[in-house]
Amino acid sequence: MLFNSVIYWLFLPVVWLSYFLLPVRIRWVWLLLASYFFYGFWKVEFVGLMLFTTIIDWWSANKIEDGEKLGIKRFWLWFSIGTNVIMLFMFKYFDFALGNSPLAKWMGDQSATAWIIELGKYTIPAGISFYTFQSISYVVDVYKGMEKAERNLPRFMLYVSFFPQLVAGPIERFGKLHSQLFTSYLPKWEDISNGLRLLLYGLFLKVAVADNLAMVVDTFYSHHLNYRMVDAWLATFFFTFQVYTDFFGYSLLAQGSALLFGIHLMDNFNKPFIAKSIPEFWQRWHISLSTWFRDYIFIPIGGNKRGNLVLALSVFLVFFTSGLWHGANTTMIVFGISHAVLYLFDRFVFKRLEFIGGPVIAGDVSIRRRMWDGFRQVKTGFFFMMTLVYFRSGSVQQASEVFGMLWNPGYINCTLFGAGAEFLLVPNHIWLFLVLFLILDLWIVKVRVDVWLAKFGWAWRWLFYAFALVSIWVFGGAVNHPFVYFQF
Amino acid sequence: MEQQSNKKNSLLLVFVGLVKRFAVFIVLFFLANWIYEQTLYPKERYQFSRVAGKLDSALRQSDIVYLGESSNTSFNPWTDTLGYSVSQWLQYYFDSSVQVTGVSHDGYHVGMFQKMLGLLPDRGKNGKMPTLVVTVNMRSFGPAATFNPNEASNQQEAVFYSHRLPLLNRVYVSLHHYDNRNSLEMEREKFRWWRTHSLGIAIDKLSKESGLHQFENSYTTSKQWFGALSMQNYELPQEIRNMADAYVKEFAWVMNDDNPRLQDLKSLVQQCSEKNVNLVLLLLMPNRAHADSLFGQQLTQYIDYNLEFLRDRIATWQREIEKKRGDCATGSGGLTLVDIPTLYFKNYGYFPSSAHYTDQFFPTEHVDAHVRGFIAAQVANGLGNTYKKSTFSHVDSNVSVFWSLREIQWNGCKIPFYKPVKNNWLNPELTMPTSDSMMGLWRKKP
Repeated sequence: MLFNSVIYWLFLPVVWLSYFLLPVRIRWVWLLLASYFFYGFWKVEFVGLMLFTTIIDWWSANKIEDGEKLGIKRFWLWFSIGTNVIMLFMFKYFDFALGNSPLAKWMGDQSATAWIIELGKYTIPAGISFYTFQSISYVVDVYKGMEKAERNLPRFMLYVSFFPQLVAGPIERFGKLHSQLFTSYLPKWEDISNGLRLLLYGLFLKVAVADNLAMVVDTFYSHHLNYRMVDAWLATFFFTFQVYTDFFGYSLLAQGSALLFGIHLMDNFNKPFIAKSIPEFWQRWHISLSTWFRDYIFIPIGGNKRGNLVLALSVFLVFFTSGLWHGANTTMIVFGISHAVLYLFDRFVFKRLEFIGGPVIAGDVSIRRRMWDGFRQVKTGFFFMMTLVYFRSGSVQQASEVFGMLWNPGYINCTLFGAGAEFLLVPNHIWLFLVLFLILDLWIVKVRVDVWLAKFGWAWRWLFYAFALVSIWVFGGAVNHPFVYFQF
Repeated sequence: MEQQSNKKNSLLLVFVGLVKRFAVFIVLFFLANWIYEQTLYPKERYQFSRVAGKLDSALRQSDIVYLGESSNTSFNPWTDTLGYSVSQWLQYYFDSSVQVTGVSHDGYHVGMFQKMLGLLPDRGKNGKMPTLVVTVNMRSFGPAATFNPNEASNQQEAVFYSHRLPLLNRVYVSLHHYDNRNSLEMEREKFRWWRTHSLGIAIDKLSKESGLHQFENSYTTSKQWFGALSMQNYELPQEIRNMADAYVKEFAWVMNDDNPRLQDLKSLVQQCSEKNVNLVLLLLMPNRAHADSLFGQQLTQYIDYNLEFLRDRIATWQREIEKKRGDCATGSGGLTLVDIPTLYFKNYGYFPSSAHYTDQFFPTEHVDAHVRGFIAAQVANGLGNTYKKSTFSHVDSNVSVFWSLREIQWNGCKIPFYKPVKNNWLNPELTMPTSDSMMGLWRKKP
């Protein structure tokens, strides 16, 4: 079930109302059933897969906690991680790994194995990367003694499957989410109004901004060689904010849905386009994934405590994994590695140019410092935009061609305004929504949007609500485009 | 006690707050709907579904509405001397007081026609419901068409075949409230069907009566069949190889009562009967000649069986309607089948040659003017005396002239020999023979 579907907007009020009408002690059971229904509604066959992963991790964590010898604990830790990785590989990377090899062909011809090939080629279980990472973090935390193992399987199932954050995060840690799920909670008007605001703004970002931008971007990428240089720049710029508003919108919808039940999920974005460097960018973009990589890969293999070489290797490993996590495609690996290069460039090279902005003094608002910081922000956003060409392209060849169109005047006869057989049409409302979002996100809204809205009187608030609602109702993007991160 | 009281107060406060806001939300929605209907809706409806407006007015103002797919308007640029669609042709069989309107859309099928009924008015022209002529394309019941990767765009259009609030239609589009499975999901479903559905025709009353159970097929599934085709290493033109592959994918499947399109057709018949709409089902004629040339009875048995299955089920529904009404199933609320393959065979003693099909390398039901004229004549006959007939015929069904009989000038070139080729484009530089000419190589394969 997707957040931007009619069925979800029927499902959510029914689940919410029933939740508070039920006795407190069985509310979590209702939430568990609702979460499995939410997941199974899309493809019921993948419910079994999630259940399997959940049981393995629950069992392993209990064994780790009960194990007296370190070797036993370590065995169950790697058993759990290994099983998760194998499941991820089977359902997400198997087709990519096999390609058109004879083995793939042979498996496709055998009735017993053909379904695996079909599955890998055409469908990825929604959210498998998200819930697998969430579940792994729990087992590792139990192994490290940071969390107590959950003895009750259904309660652990709810932690893994809690529907607002099941298919595209935020990837929540056990310690934060689990306790909230089982706490007795009386509905508070503040939570509900904030939750509804997040839902409205999240849906606005997805339906009115991201889906409309997607229409333009998809048009370009479907026949990119027919377009002009200026169209290539436009599509690249639009995709940057399509992917941002799409995923940011999703995260707000997840937070809003959870807040209706009194559960506070972590912020997944914190104004990434004001970041002054790539390292800072990743502290502001998809925060739950970045912190996961930091805590479970970067730090365990050495991080920044064991010299520059280990740091560089750790960065490469993290971003390579991150690229692969985003999708089983060479373009995603290039996306990840290019971020590693940019990360190290900022860390080791660009940092040496800090003197240009003058001495760093807290509260410094000198023109020199502001201009330097502004330049760094534009530079960071620009680099990110360039790497997204790989993120969006279907193949490395397509990405190379788009780069050629962007940077090489005359490439395949593509000049700035001429030669293209077609040009991208951008309706006025798309510009309006994009500019409005950029103004709000970059300059006006300094806190989370629900908190920001609460500061206004009812008339201004309702004007905003009416604008957002009418934008969703009348100007929602018609292209059938699921959430970008839904496929991961 | 105090906790209980707090809980009640808290819930009550929340409930009252939500009801108030919901009321404002509803008022805002209806206000926006009114403004939207007066301003953007007509343009957007045409943008999202170019036939919705035409269908709406046709159902209100016409006596006969022809719901067709691409076969209604497919012309053969080489052979057609008369560029009438079937529905245009149909008009000439009736008096000018009888209004026939064709509403055609490429890639539509009975599932879409069933959804189009959502625009049926309570009362049509002169207070009567129109007669609906609905094309039934057997091929569109198969997996290749059912799981077409572009089906989501059809389903998006179907949102507008309803009398819902205009703004609600728009919201449904924004939130993709239709069968919006993407192309990959559809591909997966298609391959799953080809892999799992047996090619064995059940030995039952229907197959025995039609004598179709006796032809053994060495392949148990379609996937095995086209898998084997791809492994063959004959030196055949790629066009013919692709054509053979397409014929297997489009026709090698067995109809049964669980077929989703059959369910749609059943629902369409039921709705028409309930709303007193006179329904004429027009069973189209697949390119059996090419299927026969390629694979003989190994493939044609499926075409024949699936057509027979459709005839059988339609006859069953006719009997049910007759039983319910207590008289014959014609006229208002009735059901008539115009079975073109059978009628053509009865009329001419053979099935039409493949040259009458405009797509030479892919199995479509796109036919030339000769067959289109024949179809229109049979539909007019099928309607009996329901409507006043024209007193004279404008129609000469002998309208297809093959270029092979002619010699033409084109851009200064003398073109001695032409036959229909793929894509229907007249290309003076093209001297490629038709698929029939190439088929000789196929038949000579080791």
